[in-house]
Amino acid sequence: MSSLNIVLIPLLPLAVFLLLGLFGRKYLSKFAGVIATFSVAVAAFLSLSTAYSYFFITGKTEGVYQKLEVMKFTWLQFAPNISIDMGMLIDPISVMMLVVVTFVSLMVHVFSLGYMKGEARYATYYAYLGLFTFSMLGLVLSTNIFQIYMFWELVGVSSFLLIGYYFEKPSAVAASKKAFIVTRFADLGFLIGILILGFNAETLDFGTLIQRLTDPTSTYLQGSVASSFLGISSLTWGLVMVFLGGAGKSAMFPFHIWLPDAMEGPTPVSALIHAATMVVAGVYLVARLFPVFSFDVAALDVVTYVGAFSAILAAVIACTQTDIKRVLAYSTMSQIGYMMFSLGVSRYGGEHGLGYMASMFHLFTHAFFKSLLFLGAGAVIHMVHSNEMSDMGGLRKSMPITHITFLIACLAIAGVPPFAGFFSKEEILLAAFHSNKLIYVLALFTSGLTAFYMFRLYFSIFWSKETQHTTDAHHDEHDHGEGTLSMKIPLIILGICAISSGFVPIASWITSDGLPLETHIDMAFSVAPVALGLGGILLALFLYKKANPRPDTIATSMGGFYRAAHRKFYMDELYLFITKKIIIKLVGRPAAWIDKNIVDGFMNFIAAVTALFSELIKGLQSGKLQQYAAYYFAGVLCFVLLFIYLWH
Amino acid sequence: MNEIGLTHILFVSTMLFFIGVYGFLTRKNMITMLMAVELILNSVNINFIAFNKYLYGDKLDGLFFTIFIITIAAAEAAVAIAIIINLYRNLKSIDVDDADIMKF
Amino acid sequence: MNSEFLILMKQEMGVTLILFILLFLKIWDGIKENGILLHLINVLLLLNFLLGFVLNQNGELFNGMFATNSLRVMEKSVLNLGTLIISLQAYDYLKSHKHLLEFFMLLLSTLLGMFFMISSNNLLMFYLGIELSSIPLAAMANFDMDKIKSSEAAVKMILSSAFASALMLFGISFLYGTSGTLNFQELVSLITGSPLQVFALLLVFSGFAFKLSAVPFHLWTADVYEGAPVAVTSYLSVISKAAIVFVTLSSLAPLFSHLNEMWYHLLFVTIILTITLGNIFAIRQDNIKRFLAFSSISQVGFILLGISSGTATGATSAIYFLVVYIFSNLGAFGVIALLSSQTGKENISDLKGFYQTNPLMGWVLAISLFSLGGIPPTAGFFGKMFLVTAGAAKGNYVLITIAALNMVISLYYYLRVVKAIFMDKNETPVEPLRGSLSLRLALLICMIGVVGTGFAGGFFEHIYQLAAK
Repeated sequence: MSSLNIVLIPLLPLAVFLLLGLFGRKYLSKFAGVIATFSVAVAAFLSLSTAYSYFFITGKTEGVYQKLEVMKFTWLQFAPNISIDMGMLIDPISVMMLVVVTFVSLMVHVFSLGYMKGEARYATYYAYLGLFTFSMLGLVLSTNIFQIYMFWELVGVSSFLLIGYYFEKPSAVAASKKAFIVTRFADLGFLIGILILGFNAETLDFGTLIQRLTDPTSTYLQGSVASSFLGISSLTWGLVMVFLGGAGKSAMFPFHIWLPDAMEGPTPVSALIHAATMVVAGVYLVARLFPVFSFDVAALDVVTYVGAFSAILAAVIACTQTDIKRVLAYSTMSQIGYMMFSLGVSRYGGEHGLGYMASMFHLFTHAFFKSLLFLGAGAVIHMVHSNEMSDMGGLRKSMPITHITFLIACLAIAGVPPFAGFFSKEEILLAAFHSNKLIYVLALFTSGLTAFYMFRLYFSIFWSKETQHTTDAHHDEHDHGEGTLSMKIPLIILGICAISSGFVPIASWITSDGLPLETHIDMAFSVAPVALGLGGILLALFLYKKANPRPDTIATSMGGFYRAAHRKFYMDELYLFITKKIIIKLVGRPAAWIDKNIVDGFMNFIAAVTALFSELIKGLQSGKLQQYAAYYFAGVLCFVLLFIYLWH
Repeated sequence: MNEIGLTHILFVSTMLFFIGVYGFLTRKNMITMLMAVELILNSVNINFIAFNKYLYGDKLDGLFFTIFIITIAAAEAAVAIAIIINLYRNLKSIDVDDADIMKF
Repeated sequence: MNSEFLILMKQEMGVTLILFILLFLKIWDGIKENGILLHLINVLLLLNFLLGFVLNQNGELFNGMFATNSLRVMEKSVLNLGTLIISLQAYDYLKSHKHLLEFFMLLLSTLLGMFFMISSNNLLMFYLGIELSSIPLAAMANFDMDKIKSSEAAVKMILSSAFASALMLFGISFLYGTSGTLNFQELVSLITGSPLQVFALLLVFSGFAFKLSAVPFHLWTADVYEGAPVAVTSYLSVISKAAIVFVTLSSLAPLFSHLNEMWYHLLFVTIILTITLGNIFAIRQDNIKRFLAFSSISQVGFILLGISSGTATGATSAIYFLVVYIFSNLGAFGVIALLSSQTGKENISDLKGFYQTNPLMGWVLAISLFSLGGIPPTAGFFGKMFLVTAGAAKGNYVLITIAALNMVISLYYYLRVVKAIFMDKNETPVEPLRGSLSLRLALLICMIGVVGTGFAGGFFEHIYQLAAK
C-alpha cells in the first residue's frame, strides 16, 4: 500500500474536473466521457488494491486494525494549540468508503456514457461528476474534523451543480437551490458542533479528539461533561449538533425535504449522490466519531430515534408515491434511517459493537443495490420518457436485463436470502433486538413495508399492463430498446454485487474497536423478518401484478381458479380498505401532507417571515438624512443608557 | 458666584452641543445644518480649551487640538458647500427633505 | 534622524510624492492622453505597493504621535494594493473623464489619511487622519456631477460624516478632560471606567461604528453606495472600511482593555444588530450596489465578531478576512463597474442570462459572490470560518448561533444573484461586454486572491506572527 496510490485516488477525479472544466467544452466534448471514465476506473482499481493491502497485509497490528495517517501536513496554525491539518486517514471505514465511492462512481460514469449521450453539456456533466467524486473522496479520507467540513461543503456545492444540471427546468433549479439551502441549514449545526467539540478538546484532529474525549481520566472529557447549557452537557450538545449536520446530508427527518425534490437531477446522478455516496456521508460522520458518541448515551439516543422515525416515515410515504424516482428517494431515506439507528443502538467494543458493524455492512450492501435500482430506473425512464408508474408496465419483455437486475435489487432490499440486503439487515435487526425492543418492532414493520413498496414498484414497471405493451405501435416506440451496451454493463455488474456483497466478511474487518467480530445468522431469528418481507412481496404481487388472461396463467391456477379469483377480489377490497382508507388516508396522506406542507412550509415560512420583516422595517431606511442622524443619536443614547445606567 | 469655574464652562459647552444636535436634526436648510455642526464643533473647542486651562495647564495639547479642529471644520465646510451647490444645480433645492431619491 | 524619518514614513512619503507628481502634471498639462496618465498612476501605485516590502523598521516619530511596525506596514500595503486594483478597474470609467487627475488627487489624499490613521498613536493624529480620509471621499462621491443621485449621495455623506465626527470629537474632548493626555498608550492606563469616560468612549465608538457602517450607525451607507460612481463605491466599501477596521484593532480595542466586559457586550449588541439587519435589507434590494452595501454591512458584523474575541487569533482572523474581502468584493465590483460603464445598468434583474453572453465575467462575479457568501473552496469560506471560530472561543453560543444562521440567510441572497446570472432566462441579456486590459488584469488579481488566499496556508500564520507581537 504505497501512499502515492492513495494520494492519487482523489486527485484523479480532480484532474478530470480541471481538465474538462477548462477545456472540455471546446476541445474535448467528444472524449469527455471516455477520459473521465478511464480515470475513475484507475481510481477504483487503486482503491481496490488499497483495500486489499490494508485488510490483508498492512492494516493489522496485533490483530487490531489501525488508523493510519498516510499523509499529513499542518496547513494552518490557527492558534497556538489548534492547527488545521490536511491529510489522509486510512482505517477500515475509510477504506470501505473508498471502494464504494470509486466503484459506484465508475458504474455511474459508464452508465452515463449511454444515458447522457447527445447532451449539449456533456463535458460539463463529466466535469461536475469529477468534482463530486473528488470531494466525496476527500471527505472520506479526512484526518480532521475541519477538513471533513470543508469537503462536506464542497460535496454540497458539487451536488448543487449536478442536481441543477438541467437548468432549463425551473423545477430543477428550485430543487438544487432547496437541497443546498436545507443542507446548509443543517451544516450550521455541524459547524456549531465542530466549534463546541474543538473548543472542549482543544484539537480538531480526529485521532487526538477521540483520544481526549474518550479517556475517562482526561480533563477534556470531564470538562466537557461538566459544563452544560440548558441542563445538557456540552459534549452532548456538540455531538447532537454534529449529528444534525449528518442528518442534513443524510436526509433524516426533518431535513429530508430536499431529497425527493433532488430527483430532478439526471438519474445517474441520483444513483451516485442519492444512493451510495453523499447521503451516507452523515452515517459516515457519526461512524467516524463513534467512539465519542458511544460515551454519550443521550446523543446516541437522539441518533437512534431520529433514525428509526425517519426509516418508518419514509417507508410509509414511499407506499403512496407514484413517481418511481421519488419512491426510490424515500426508500433511500428509509434505509439510511436503518443505518442511523443501528449506529444509535450500538455501543463501543466487542459484542456491543454489533450495531456499528451492521450499519457499515448495510451501508456497503445498500450502495450496490440502491445504485442498481436508480440506474435501472434510469434505463426505464430513458425508454419510457416518463417518471410516472402509470406510464409504465409490462416492460419485462422489452428490457430483459433491466428487468432481471431490478428484480435482484428488489429482492436484495426486501431482505430475501441469499441476496445482499438480507445479511446486513439481519445484523441490524439483531442489534436492535438486543438493545431496544421498540426499535426492533419498528424496524421489523419497516422491513415489511419496504418489501411491499419495492415490489409494488417492480410489478407496476415490469408487469401490470402487459397487454397494452405488446401492440405494434409500442414496439416502434421502443426502437432503441434497452439502451446501449454501456448502460447494460453497469446493471449486470451491480446486479452481481447485489447478490454477492452480502458474503463479504465485513464483520471481521470493520468493527467499532478494530477487532474481528464473530457473527452468525440465527435461523430462528431470521424467520420473522423474512416472512414479513415475503408477505410484503406477496401483497404487492396480488395487488399490482394484474392477472392477465393468457391461457397458461389460467392453466396453472386451474382448479383453484374460482377461489383464486375470489381471493383476489377479496384482496382488492382489503387493499382498497388498507391502502385507500388506512395507509393513504390515515397515515400516508397526512404524512405526505405534513411532509409537504409543514416541514416544507416551515422553510417557506422562514423566507416569508424574513421578507415580511424586511418590509416592516424598511421605513428605517427612509432616505431622509435627518432621520438617519436621529437614529444615530438615538443609538448613542441607547448605548449610554445601557452601559452607564443599567450596567453598573 | 465670585469665580467662573470649569463646571460653568462645561455647562455652556454642553448646552451648545445639544443646541447643535437639535439644529442638525430639525433644520431643513442644508446650510443651516452645516452651521449646526459648527455649533457642536465649537462646543468641543470650548471643552478642550477649558480642560486645558483648568486641569492640564502644563501642556498645550487641548489648545492645539482646537486649532486643528477649526482648520478642518473650515475645510469640511468648503467641501460641503461645494457639494450643496452642485446638488442645487441638479435639484433646484437645498431642502434636505428633497434629497431622498434613494431609499429603502 | 533624517533617514529614519524617511524609512518609517516611506509609504506616506510615497503617496505624497505621487500626489505632488500629479499636481505637477496638472499644472504642466503636457500629457493629454488619459490612458497614458492612468497607466502612469498605476505604475506609481505599484511602486508604492512594492515599497511596503523593503526597509521595514519599527519606530516612532513626532514625540510618539506617529508609530509604525511591520503589521501596520502590511496593512498599508494591503490598502495600497486595493487602491491599485480599483484604479485598474476604473480604467473604463476614467478614460474619458475630464477630471481624471482631480479624481486621483482626492483618492490618494484619502489613502494618505488612512495611512496616518493606521499609524496614529495619538488622538489628534487619528482625528487628522480620519478627516483627511473622509472629506475628499464625499467630493469623490459627487464625481458624476450631473447626476442627482451622485450629488445626493455626496450631501448625505458629507453631512452625516460631519455630524458623526463632531459627536466623536465631543467624546474625545471628554477623554482628554478626564485623562489629560491624547496619547493612546498613556490613555489606556488612565481609563478608569467613570461614567463620564464611558460616555466619552461610547461617543468615540459611535464614530468608529459610523465609519464601519455598523447598525444603528449605518444608515448613510446604502444611499451613498448607490449614488456614488462604482469606483468610489468599491473604494468606500473596501478600502475605507478595511482602514477603519485596522484602526479599531490597533487603537480602539486597547482603549477598552480595562472595560473588557463592557466592550464585549457593546460588540455583542452591535454584532447581532449589524449582521441581522444588514442581511434583512440585503434580501430586498435590486440595485447591485445597494445590495452589496447591505451585504457589506453584514460582513462587518462578522469582522466585529472576530474582534470581539479579543485575542491575537481574533485580530488575525479579522485582518485575514479583510484581505479576502478586498479581493472578493473588488472582483464583484469590477464586473459591476464594467456593466455600469458600458450599459448603465446596475440592477440584479439586468443580470438575468448574463452567463449566456458573458461567460467569463459571469464566472468572475459568481466566484466573488461565493467567496462573499463563504462557500468553499473560496477564501471567503476560510475567512468567515476563522472569524466564527475565533468568536466562538468566548463560548457565547447565542452569538455564534445567530451568526451562523445569518450565514445561511446571506447564502440565500448571494445565490439569488448567481441564479440570475446562470439560470434565469432572458430574451434580451446584456450584450457582450468588452473590458479593457487593465480591468481584466485587475479581475485576474482578484480571482487569484480569492482562490489563492485560502490555500496559501502560510499567509494566516504570517499575519498571526505580526499581530501577536
